Amino acid sequence: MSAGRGIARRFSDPRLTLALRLAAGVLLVYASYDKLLDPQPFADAVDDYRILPLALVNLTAVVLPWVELVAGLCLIAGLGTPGAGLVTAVLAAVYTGALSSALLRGLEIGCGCFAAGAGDPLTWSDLWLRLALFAAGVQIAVAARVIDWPLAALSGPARRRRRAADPTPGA
Amino acid sequence: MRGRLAWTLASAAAIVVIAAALGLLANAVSGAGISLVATRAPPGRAIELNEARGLLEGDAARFIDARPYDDFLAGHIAGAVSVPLAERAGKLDQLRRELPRTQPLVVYCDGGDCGSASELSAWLAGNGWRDVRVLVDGYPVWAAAGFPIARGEGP
Repeated sequence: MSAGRGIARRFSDPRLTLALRLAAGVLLVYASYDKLLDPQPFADAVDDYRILPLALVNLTAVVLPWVELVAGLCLIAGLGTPGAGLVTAVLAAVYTGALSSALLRGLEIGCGCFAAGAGDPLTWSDLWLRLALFAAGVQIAVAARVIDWPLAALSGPARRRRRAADPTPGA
Repeated sequence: MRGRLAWTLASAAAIVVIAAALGLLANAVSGAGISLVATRAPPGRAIELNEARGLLEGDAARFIDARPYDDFLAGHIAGAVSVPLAERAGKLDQLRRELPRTQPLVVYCDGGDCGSASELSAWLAGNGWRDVRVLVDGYPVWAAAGFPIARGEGP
């Protein structure tokens, strides 16, 4: 019973949450950058997976990088953090499913994960980062505060008093 | 607990809605914006000689030479890319890097009785290129008409 509580305490350790938030946030912002500047090559990469009907390919290519960017910025800023963690977990689950499906079908396509163009051919090793991102998203969704550091530190004396009673590492 | 779940779902929904709005707005005002609904022309549509020449001169299409590479070296439509039908699989990565999927393509071979242009056009369409047409008369009629050609490795 106490071992279970210990694992739960470690899982929800604010220092772990902070590290995962910053890592996942920077990764998502980086992943979005090329794709939102030039959506056509990303649309081609999405089309290469042959999962979505053509009518949804461009809309996905236009919106998805912005979801990555906004979720990534929220994770870094500590705003709506559990929601951003949930979005991260859902994105990572979708990417993991799409990559696995393409690999199982033997498609020789680029990942389309970071660069706007197709990039290097997809391999099973591309899955690890998405699985790690999924785990980070789940941890953040469960353990992070709605308004977290650093935004919490800037959001008024009342919140500062609360933080003083329950300090967040790094805050 | 229920309050936290509600906050989590509400903030996740807000992130998606705000991101979608920003994405649509940026796509509308950006020079790199794309149409929201992609279309794909049926593959294998024929294109006549003069219309194809108009596309070449207007730089509105890339020409794809489906013949063996030796035939390409001996003479090809100016600006064409060599993709011999038998070697198409090995060319796919290069084509994906160099030709946007929205780029109109005109595929040709040696004329009406060669099937490699039709077969290559179906393969290109199957790999995502959305506007692939076949120059029915092929290279011999193009060259005989005095339209722009080139020799050697370059396009």
